[in-house]
Amino acid sequence: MKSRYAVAKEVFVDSVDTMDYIELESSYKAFKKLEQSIEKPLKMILLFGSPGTGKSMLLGRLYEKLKDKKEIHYFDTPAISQKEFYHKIFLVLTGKELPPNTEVNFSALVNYCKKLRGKREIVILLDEAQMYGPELMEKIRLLSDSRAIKFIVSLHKTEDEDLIAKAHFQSRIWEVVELKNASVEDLATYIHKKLLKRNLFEIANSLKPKHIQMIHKFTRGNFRECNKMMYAIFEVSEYYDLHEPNKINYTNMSRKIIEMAAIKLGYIHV
Amino acid sequence: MYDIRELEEAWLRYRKKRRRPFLIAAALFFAFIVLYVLEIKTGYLTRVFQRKGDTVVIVDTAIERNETFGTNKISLERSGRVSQIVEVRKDESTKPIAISKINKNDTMVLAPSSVDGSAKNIVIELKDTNDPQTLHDLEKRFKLSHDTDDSLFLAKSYYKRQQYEKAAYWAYQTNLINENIEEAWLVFVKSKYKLGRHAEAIKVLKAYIDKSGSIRAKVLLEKMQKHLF
Ligand SMILES: Nc1ncnc2c1ncn2[C@@H]1O[C@H](COP(=O)(O)OP(=O)(O)O)[C@@H](O)[C@H]1O
Ligand SMILES: [Mg+2]
Repeated sequence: MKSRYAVAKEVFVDSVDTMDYIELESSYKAFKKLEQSIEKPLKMILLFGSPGTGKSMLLGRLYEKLKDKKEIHYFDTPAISQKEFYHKIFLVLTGKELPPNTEVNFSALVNYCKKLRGKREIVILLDEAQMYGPELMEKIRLLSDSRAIKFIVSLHKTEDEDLIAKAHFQSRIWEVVELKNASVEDLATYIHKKLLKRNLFEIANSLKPKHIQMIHKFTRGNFRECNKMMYAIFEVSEYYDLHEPNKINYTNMSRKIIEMAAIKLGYIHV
Repeated sequence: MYDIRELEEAWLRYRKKRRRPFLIAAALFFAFIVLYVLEIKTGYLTRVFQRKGDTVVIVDTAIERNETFGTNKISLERSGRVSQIVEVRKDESTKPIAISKINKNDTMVLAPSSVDGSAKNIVIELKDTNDPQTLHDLEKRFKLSHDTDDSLFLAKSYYKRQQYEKAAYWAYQTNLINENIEEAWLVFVKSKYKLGRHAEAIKVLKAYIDKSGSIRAKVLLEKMQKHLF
């Protein structure tokens, strides 16, 4: 027999499917701000936040919401090579695949963009931009200077801010939208809604405010950390459910299980 | 599924540790109450404090004797060590050492430059190979050289140091220059996975398998899909 906790566990496997988007106070605010920024005459918009704060989810949502109204494209993972990046831009601009055995000439691409100015307004959502490195970022800036393409660039704070040549960036970006870790309230909404979407009412109810508080303390309200923690909590629960059901309370989650998950993930050192 | 027993034991240890301050506080509180009651009923504490003067004198002399004994021992130990150090120095000075090469893996090859050439090369493995300074210097060098050996080395070093953001970054920089280096793909994917971005890692890994048909990549994919990585 399959434990209901096995289902609950799978709910928290990392995914960036926009079908799973949940409206939270923080994500709603950031969404509105991005939507408004797109309408302003800006060349670049920066979506900023630590890893796991929901940037990709938000970009995906923005894409879904605007794709019928605007010429918008979502580059979810960085291109494999510089060459491939140009191919992707070429495809966006011309709607055609590059003929075989040809290469994109970058300055020709920029010139092409300049000609499009005033005729088309293209929005490109560029996720994981901290990966691109200074050289490619400079190319992206040149493209956006043509004003035919507007980039929404998502990147996260790294310990070494130097990696993305941030100073160089700041002078050119006029709008910064920042996503922070979730508040306790947002985290509670997130966890409960995710479970309720799969009809896991009893499990959702077994997580009381004090438990959410604990989870928030360990994960600092980071969604990805929270996903990992929920997965571990339900994995331990699943074991007890199947092997030692006397050790589990189905209506009230035990602190012990949460602490065991925290030990497993290294939040607590014993 | 990980070992629940082990986890339970760790949790018991954790609970014991967490409770310790409370237990100590409770014990102290209890002792205080006992003394307080004794004092009220019998005046025990007042009597103990009155006698305290005598005790102090005895303790003082004991400490004095102890100290002189202690210093003797220390000076003996010191002289012993010094002679040892001198011996070692003598030994080294007879064989002057020249650093012939420091390669990227930070294995220092030290060759004693003896006249007769009879001495063999000594290889010393430095324990902290990829220390932050070396990595920083390599990052600088890469900016000029764009050498994939450098960026791949950085990626692998950061991965070993569990700095997965940086590992992914450098693996990706390697890829930007040459997209056919398997190591770079795998370090990238593994770092993403370690960062908890399972979906993304698996997606990229599948793309690489389509492109290359690599067996190693397939094995890794299987592990990741079963949450065994
Ligand atoms: N608004 C949201 N609705 C539903 N899930 C979310 C939301 N924000 C974040 N998440 C969850 O958190 C995880 C990390 O979010 P992600 O967008 O990948 O973060 P980032 O791109 O900032 O690193 C996702 O896998 C998703 O499960
Ligand atoms: Mg992301």
